Amino acid sequence: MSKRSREEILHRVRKGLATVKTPALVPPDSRDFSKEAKAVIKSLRNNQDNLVERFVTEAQNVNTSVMRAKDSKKLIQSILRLVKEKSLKSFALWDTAYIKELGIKERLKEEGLKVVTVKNKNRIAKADLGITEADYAIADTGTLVLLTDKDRPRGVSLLPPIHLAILRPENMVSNIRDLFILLKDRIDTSGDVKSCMTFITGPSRTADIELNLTLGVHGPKELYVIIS
Amino acid sequence: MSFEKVAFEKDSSRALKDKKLRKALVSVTDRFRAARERASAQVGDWNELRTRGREIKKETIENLDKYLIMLEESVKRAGGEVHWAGDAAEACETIIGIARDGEVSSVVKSKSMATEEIELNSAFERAGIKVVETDLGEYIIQLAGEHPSHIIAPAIHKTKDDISLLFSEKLGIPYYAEPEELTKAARERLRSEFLSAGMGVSGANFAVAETGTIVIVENEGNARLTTTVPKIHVALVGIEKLVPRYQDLSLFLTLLARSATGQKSSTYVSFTTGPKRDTDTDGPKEFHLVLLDNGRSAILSSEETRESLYCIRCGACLNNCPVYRQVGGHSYGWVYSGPIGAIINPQLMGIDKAPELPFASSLCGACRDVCPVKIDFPKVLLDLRKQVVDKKSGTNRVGWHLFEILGIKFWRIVVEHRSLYEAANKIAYYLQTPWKKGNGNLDSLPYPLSRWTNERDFPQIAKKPFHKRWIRIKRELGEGKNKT
Amino acid sequence: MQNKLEKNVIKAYIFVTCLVDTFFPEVGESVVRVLDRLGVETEFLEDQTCCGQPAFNSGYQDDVRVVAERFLKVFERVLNEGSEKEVYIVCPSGSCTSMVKVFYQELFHNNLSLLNIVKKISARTFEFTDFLVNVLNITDVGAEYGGVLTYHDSCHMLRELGVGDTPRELIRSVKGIEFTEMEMHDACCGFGGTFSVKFPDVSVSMLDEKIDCITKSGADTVVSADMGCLMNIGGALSRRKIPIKVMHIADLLAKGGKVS
Repeated sequence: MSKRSREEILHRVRKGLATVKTPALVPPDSRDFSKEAKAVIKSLRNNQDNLVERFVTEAQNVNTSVMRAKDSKKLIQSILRLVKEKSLKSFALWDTAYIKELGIKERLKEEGLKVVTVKNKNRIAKADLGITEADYAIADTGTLVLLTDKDRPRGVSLLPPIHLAILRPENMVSNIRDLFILLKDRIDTSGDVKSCMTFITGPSRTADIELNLTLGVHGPKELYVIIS
Repeated sequence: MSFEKVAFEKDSSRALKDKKLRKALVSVTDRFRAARERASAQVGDWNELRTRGREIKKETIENLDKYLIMLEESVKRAGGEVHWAGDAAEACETIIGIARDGEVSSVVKSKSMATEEIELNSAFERAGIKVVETDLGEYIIQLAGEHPSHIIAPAIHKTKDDISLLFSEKLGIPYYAEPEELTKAARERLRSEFLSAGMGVSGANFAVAETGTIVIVENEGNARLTTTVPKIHVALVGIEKLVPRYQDLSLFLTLLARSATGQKSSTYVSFTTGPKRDTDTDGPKEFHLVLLDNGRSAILSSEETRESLYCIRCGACLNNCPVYRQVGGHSYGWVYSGPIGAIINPQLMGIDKAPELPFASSLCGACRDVCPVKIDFPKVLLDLRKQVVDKKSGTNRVGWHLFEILGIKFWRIVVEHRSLYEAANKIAYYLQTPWKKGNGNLDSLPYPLSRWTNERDFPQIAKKPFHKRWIRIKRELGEGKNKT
Repeated sequence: MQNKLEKNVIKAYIFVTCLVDTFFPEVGESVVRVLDRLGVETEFLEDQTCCGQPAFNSGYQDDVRVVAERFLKVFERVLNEGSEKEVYIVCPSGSCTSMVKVFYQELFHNNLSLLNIVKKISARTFEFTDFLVNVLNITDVGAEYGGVLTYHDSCHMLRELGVGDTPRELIRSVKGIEFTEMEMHDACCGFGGTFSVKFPDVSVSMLDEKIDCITKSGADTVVSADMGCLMNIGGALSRRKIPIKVMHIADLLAKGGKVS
């Protein structure tokens, strides 16, 4: 059924376009992603402090809480402070090299928190806190970019009521155009597109009831970013 | 609820009497309009972006067959399945088939106007499959059994009290007055639905041909949940929603958020490419892309109206339309409203179902000024008006339309012949006498001009038209010069 | 400061429009008087009737084409003027001007020879305020009027012709007036030609908002460059007995009438 429809639809499309003598062709924005990516990375290195400042401003504008940590010790302390402040009891987290290096899981378990298995979505949903990294961030808009991969489940940044993302300053990008240059270069190099990428700009929100802004509709109610 | 023939004049007149609705419309459109202006002003080359957005959409539409095939290949390469649906019935059949194959008994849905087009919820209900809308605005109108009244804010015609009452009635919860509590109630109720549903159905804002990625833009997080938690994800996407390259997304995402709500970026943007990979911990095991025609291919064959397909569903045209501002979305009689509704409802429903819509506009062009892909709404509306006239000309319709045809033919004869033009002028001058008012105007004119004079005075025809004054004017000017 | 205009260099053919001809002939007179005051030779082709816009907006393209062809035949004379003067076609209506300059090109895009004539005529056709400011390079026509004025942007003029600054520049140069910009000055007044009688309830609702903005502005006179809009706005003002005047910009500029 679908196969016949496919032919019928394509036939109708072609028929409809029969009067178009020269179909439009737009020159692509970038041609050499590898070269452009290198240029982007170079300019980012020179501008890092500036970018971080901009990111912080934009993120705060959309109700993201931003913390800065000079070193790993301070980073852990920030997380612990948050846990104590909100009396958090359980957490889910990504199992990345950096997070392992920081020893977050061990430290939180020491404090008496329960770590939930991420293999069960219901368990993740019951966790008080979800901890992830951010693969990139966009300074212009205060946006975090998360890529799905092994041991980096989607649910951790989505199901618990609080999401905490650890961001390394060298992953900061100036604007969305630069980001897509890096992403496309990455896709070209690895030959593969991740199953899911998510842009996160602030906590979940709605204005559907009389235009009143309410946070925490379906996604996390609070978003924390620690810039390491 | 099903869709019948659009009755714009009737519905709009009724809407105009609804004070609550009027207040909500002014509030929403003012807010979104100001936000869009601010957000677009922040971008230095905004106008260039819009031009490029239009160019890329033109490229997509004019090469649509190629890009559709490319999209299909990319999705398959990523492990997804692609289905093609010629019309609404087929799309529903396909999606229900997928649900049955997956032994799904309950479905969660994120906001998708395409699914409203095909009336998917009714189809699910008939098939005995539970379906829950998860976008808060859509959830509200689902409970109320209504259609959305705005593309971005579907329940904007409902007050806080309306919603409090609705929730307490339909959800059996206490009456909560504040949005905070209402939202919390919805969150809790819907969270359990997400976790137990066997299938999530979404739409998509964009589908990238190059990589097979579908993109969903939202603020609440329900689309992320819908497309992440259940084991099957079905995305229903109109065939016009494609963009050629992955990189094109950076342009369109910039255009969309700022045009729709004035945000620099919406809270969440999800980029889904196929189902979960073997190494992924979570994500849907199956990804199905259902490509929907439902009348879009017919729009392709009309050169004048083809650009109707460029739309990225931002809603900026609604927010800037003085007509929409008065009457809201329901008057447009179908899924889409405002200027975009006025042009695609007749084309997708069939012009016989919505002959009023192309005329339900003063052609002011405010929509065109704000459209992120520069759709020339007035041009398309004018062509649709011609289509309506051409279709009706062959019939023997009595009444208003006959009136109009006779009027036009009469006008044409008069303006084609100078002597008739002058005579008509003179005759009309005397004929207007019974309706002359003391203040130099006319009042209470007969139908159809009564539609003017019910609320407004009409000017009188001058005793001496300009063409009768010219000689005297010329002479006076000449004398003036001779005097100096 | 006023740019002096050399006499006898420019000739303007008046495209008076059927609306002004029939209902508001004094506006046509004002156009002629202002141009004459500025040293422009004026001419009126008596054969003209209508540009076809009302039927065009109603979807009767084929009928309009016939009427438009007649318009082109009448004004073709302008192209064959053969004098040393620069000739123009000047029109006191943004919407009728846009019909000729913008929509005639769409009407005749399949007819190359007529399209050619359309392009030549379009190039010489100007809305009245556009002509004064951008062709004659004049913003002060020596007018004088006492009152608080506000200006309504008519849709076709603003969005099809892109003309919004010139009327304001001219108004501001009128001696004795105070200019105030109203809220939503570029929002449609609800006229839209036949729209006003096809959907009168919606039209009047839009008009209500426009009247609201006008009264809030504190002006005692609302000026515009389109009599279609002004008859809509004026019709409501007079019905509701609101003591605010409507005035076409040509009538405003004809007042006082001194040129140094």
